[in-house]
Amino acid sequence: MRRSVLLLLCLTLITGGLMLPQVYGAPMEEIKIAGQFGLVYAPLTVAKERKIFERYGLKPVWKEYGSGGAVREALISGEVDVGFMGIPPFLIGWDKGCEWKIVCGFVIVPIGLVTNDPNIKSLKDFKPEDKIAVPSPGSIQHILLAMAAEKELGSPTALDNNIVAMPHPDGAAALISKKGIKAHFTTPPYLFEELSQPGCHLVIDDVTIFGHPFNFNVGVAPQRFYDRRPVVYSSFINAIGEAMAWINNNKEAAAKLLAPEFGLTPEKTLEYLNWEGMNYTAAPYGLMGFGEFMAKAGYIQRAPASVAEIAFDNVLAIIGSRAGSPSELERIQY
Amino acid sequence: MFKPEELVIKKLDKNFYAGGKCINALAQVDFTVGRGEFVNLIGPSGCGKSTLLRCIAGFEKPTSGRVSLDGREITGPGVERMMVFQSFEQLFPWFTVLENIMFALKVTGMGASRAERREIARTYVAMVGLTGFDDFYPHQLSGGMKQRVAIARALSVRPRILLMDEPFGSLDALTRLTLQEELIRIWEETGVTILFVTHNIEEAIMLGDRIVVFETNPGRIKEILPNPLARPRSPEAKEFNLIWEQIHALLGFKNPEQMRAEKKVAKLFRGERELSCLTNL
Amino acid sequence: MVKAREEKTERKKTLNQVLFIIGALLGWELMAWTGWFPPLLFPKMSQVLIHLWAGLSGGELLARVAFSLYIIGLGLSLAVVTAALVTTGAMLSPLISDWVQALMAVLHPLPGIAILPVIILWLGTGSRSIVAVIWFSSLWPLIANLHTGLRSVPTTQIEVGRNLGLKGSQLVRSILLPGAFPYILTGLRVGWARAWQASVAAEMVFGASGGEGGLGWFIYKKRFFLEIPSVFAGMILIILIGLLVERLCFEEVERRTVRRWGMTAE
Repeated sequence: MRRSVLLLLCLTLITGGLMLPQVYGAPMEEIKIAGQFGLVYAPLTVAKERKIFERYGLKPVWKEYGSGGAVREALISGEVDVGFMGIPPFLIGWDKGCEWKIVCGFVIVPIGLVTNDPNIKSLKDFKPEDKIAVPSPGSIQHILLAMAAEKELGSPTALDNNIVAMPHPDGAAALISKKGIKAHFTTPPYLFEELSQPGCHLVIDDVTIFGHPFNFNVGVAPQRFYDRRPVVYSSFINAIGEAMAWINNNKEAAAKLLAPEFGLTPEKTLEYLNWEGMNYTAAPYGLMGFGEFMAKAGYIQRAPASVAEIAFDNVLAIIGSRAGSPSELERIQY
Repeated sequence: MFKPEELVIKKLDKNFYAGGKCINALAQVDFTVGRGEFVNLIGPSGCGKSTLLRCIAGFEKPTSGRVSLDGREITGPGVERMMVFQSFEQLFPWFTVLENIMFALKVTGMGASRAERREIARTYVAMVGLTGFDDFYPHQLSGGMKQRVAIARALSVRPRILLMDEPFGSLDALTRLTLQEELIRIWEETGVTILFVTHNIEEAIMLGDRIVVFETNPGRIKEILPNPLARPRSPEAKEFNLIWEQIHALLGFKNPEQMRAEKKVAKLFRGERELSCLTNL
Repeated sequence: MVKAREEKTERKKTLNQVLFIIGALLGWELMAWTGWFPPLLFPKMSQVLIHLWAGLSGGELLARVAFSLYIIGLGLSLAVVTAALVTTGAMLSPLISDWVQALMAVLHPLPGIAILPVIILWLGTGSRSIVAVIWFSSLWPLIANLHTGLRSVPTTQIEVGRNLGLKGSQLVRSILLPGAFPYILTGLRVGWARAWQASVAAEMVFGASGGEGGLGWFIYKKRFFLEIPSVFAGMILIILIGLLVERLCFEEVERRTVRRWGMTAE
């Protein structure tokens, strides 16, 4: 009797031990992360494939959404802990009273307005009936278009009646087949694909509009996540940093790993990763510039007075605060 | 005939094709109807009496033989031959009583103006005893009233001949009797020729100058009986019973003795007699 | 007497419904006040109504409604014309009738919005595609009802018409169409409802085309600017218009025709 009990106990321990081979001692902390699909989100794919979060004691739950709006709604409703979105959608939420801040910069990618009409050389050449596709109203592409319209046409809303909302793949297909739209404000890889098509050319790009590079996406988390789970928060920052660094240092391996995910050849993926302007970085760029413009143009009620209002301490620490005249990093936020 | 011939039916054959089979609905039907005459057609179901009426109305084309009115061959429906159906659905539900008649007047080009058509319609509503129901919609009327409107509408366009296909077939016995009396009165008032299909022996005797008895398979005329009974007719009269028995026998009932006994009982309940006829036919 | 009583119970029913809705709105407001839900996602009803009023008086909502109604009217009219042509064809030829029935069996269950991707490929974006989706959504119920309606007209009524000398288009106009009217009305009702849904859905999926969007575009845009009270305001307006058209248009027509004539499409 006693022997059989002992045997059973042994068996239980052995099977239990077999079932938990990955545990490094500490319990795994769950973190729910919202992203979208595409080249921009390559660090997330890399982290997933290489199990980077697990190394930091995190058990990531990946949630993929179809649009930035859906990511934002998932964050607001508490479905996820961290999400990635453009600065303008983040600011719209912040303006509406969402208690959230920027966790990290995400990536810098070239963004551009591509047209299929050889007669369109600048924004001035758009006629009222020429449709310009953007992913959604209030998206970073829409706000960039408004910025450009203010600079070149005198009013941020000058092209608002030209915009149509289309997800990137639909917009690219419509632009290339010349069905209904004249231009598409888009991001890689669609930007690259469109620009390689005969008859399509760039009207204006992000750096021309904004003046210098800025984070296309930022990581965003609710204040309560930051307050209640600081260890998970910092593990997340480290893990995402490792994923980015790995891509930057291992472009070829990264291309191989990412290619099946995007349905591209490794060569094509590598070409995209090496495209001029691509930069996987967690550093903050241009966090404040959008706020000022959006407040002036009426998309939000007021601009953040300081970065501290919209970013957590780790981001503030990177930017720093130079005594005297602002530092390079401080200046690049505007 | 003492009256000039109006409707002539000559060697009429009508075949229907259904499911690859040919059904001989009417075979060699031959008879004539005089002007102003009231003729009843009676026979078991499937004897083709309704088909004959529909051939005369022009809804069906004879397979062979001809039907002519005043010497002109009938090739299609025409307003000089108005049909009154058994169905209560023959009135247009979206028109009131008056509008139903006015519509018939309008499409047949009668009455110079709407006001005039209204006046004509009113007289016909009065003729069938429905004064006061001008603005009722069909769904607000009883079955008997609907059939009255149908008769008024058919008469309003001044047909030469009124084709009545069991118009009282769906009415209760009492209403049916009243309407029979009314129909005779209207017939006498207007002088219209009436061809009246029924499968009720008593109705046939009450109404017609002549009774055409049909037999079935193929549908053909078995006998044409004159009905000389003076009007108003009473089912109590001896001659009435004689004709009743004659038709009854013609329709092929085997035991007239027993039927006579039944009839005496049934006489107490007029309505039920009809029922016995109906079930036997 | 009976009619008066019926009217009374009818009025009581309406009153009950109105009271329930007011109660529900008050309940909503109270729930919002408790702060159990993030106010961003669950705005106060008063806030919603304020946005509704602001949108209406500012003219933007009115322009959106006008555009929605215009585009639905266009799509629905095209669908009515198509349905009339198709049904005429089906009546003239048994072959076409078979085709139509086969098409109907296959395409009727397909929600209009499901053909949107194909429509975008063929027609591009913009109001043309939305009209096409509206047309497709409302076409099938229209054809189905027109078809059944014409078949439901009793043969005797058609024969009375022929007896009176009516032929062809006259017969169709003065007997078949009024006879089929209860079904036509049902078809228009269902068609309108589906057109309305399709227009809103289509605009929310691909966001129409900026300046000339309807209510769906309004909601879509407000969602991205996180103006949730305005999103609700747009929804309330959609409900209100639906109710108004049903109550003032269809029910009134029904009361004056089908119900007055004692004709009901089962």
